[in-house]
Amino acid sequence: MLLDVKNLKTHFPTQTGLVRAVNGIDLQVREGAAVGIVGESGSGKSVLSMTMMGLVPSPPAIISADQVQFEGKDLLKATASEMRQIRGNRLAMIFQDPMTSLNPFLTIGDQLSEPLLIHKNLTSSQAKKRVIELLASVGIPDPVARYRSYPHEFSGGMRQRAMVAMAVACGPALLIADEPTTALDVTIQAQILELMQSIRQNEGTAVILITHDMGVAAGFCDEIYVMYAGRVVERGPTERLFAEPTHPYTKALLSSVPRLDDPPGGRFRTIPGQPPDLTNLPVGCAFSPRCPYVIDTCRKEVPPLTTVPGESVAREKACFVEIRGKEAGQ
Amino acid sequence: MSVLLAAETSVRQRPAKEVVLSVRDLSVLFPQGYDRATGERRILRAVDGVSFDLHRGETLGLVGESGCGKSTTARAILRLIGMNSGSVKLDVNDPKTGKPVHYDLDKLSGAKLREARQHLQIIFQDPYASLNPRMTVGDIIAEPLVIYGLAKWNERRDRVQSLMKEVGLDPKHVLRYPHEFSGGQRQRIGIARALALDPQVLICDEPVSALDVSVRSQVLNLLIDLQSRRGLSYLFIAHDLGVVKRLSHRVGVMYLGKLVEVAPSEEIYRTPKHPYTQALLSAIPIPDPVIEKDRRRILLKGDIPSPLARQFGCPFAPRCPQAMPECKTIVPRLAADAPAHEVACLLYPPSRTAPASDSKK
Repeated sequence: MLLDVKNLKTHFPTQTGLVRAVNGIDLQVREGAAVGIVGESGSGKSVLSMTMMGLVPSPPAIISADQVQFEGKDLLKATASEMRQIRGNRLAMIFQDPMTSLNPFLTIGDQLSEPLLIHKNLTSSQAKKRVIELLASVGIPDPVARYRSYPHEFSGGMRQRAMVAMAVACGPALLIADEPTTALDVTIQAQILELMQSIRQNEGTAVILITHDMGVAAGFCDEIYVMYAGRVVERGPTERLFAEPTHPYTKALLSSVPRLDDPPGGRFRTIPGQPPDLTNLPVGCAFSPRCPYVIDTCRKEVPPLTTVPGESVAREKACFVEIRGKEAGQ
Repeated sequence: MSVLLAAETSVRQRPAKEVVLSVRDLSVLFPQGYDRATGERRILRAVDGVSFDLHRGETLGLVGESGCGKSTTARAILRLIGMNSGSVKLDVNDPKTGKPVHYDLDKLSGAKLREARQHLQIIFQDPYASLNPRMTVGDIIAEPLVIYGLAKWNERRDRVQSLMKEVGLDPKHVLRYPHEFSGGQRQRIGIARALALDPQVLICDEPVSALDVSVRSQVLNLLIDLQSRRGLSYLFIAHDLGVVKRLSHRVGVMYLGKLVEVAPSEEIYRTPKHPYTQALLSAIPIPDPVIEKDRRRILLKGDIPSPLARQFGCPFAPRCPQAMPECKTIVPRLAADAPAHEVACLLYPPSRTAPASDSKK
């Protein structure tokens, strides 16, 4: 197992109470896998990835876990200098916003050389040669001239290509992509996803794709984790999870996404109510106030993530109710 | 996929063929100073000769990627920004007398323009930026009534409360401030404000783009309900084609300031004609791994070119997988290739004909 996270919690003390952004998460990623983490805003997807990267300052955050094992090393126990050895080298990240995550004062070449100079001990001329290869490999035209460009001279799609090139510069074992295409137009999104898919196939890099777009997750990932209010409510192989969701939230989320192959006209399916307030989570299951299948137990106990019975593949859900083959409100 | 909660899937009634908003050859140019090398004036063609009709009770979806000029089109129709050429005509019924009134929006100014805007309102994209944080919800919704002097203060309170009820807000919250509401509720406030003057045409500029999926559907259903109850016409601008398909009767696709295809919603998704529409549709991920696995994407090369660059021929030609040599010289005209299906592409013979004056009726 490349990454093995057990019971990770990231809480933020605030004036209005403790925000349980990530509230006990297990996550396993095998070498070369493509794992999707989906959920709406505030479900804790981004805080989860930032915590794994060691980018959440603590204090103020309160971080705890049974383990965050990456390539045999516990990331939460690693010292700051050990983390610097791992980050950008074995474990890399692509951020959501390519407009603000590149340094506007440094040329693209300088920024892409940095990880190579630090982690691979290349000379500056070796690094330059490698950066030009990288720029070419992510499809940036005229890489020799573009080496000297500044980020503002790049379009959004080109900047995200440069971000991808920077992330894979040292050949990481795991790439965390936090909403890598959300700020981009659909035709550019398709280009970037294609690029990430080809890196995964050619380099064997494992990818954690964090997204709110069920369509993007369906096309890219082998396995999907669905998050709600800081917890994983369901995980399973992509095809089974989409074909027959076992958690009411997953089911509701999938049916409320307007699809291109839906007939026109008609109303949109909704999930009633509002996403929960993370400082004041309901007792029991966080989805229970919005859930059409709710039973009394849901309002008293938090359902644990357990194996789904009667499946040929490994699936887990955090729900007391069996919803497969059942309509809401029965 | 099973149906969660009550979800009617009846196809909504087709609207009558009565034009309420008619836009012809609308152009908006932004001067960008002078080119240092040549000394020529640099002009950004944000909207470049856009023409369409919006019928009574109809939703016309306007889609395209960022920078294609959809929002600028909306703002120019409302005269929130100036237009350089073209005409915008509004034909509505006077709410008091019920008689038809005609406005040439492009020629009006001052009090007359304000009068016309009563019938034509807008819902903005960002519910966090389009509500004044220092006004209460009641004041925000009442402001159009105050400006137009339409109701005395004691009537205003009743109007505000009934508007809040109509959009699904609790009238008890009339004294609250925008920050006390969630994104979806704020968008409802924006909708209530737009409805305060009983408009007949609503321009929705990406009204749900800032909202999460679960909340988005609630706001979209509200828009559908309001349309059937009030007979509203929507110009619905969005980049989410899934939403646009469900909501719209007709869809227009924009690219670099030009309308490249207009057709009934179902048809444009089933048989897209313009190569850009085809690429755009194929790029949209479908939340179904089985379909996604076998889907062939038309991957476009490169980015949208800068609208500052001098254009010759078809604006899509540099990225078009089916480009022909003449695409770089002839500008294709938006013309009907099939009944009610207009396309601007040289692959279709009608686009090759010389533009006749006002041939688009």
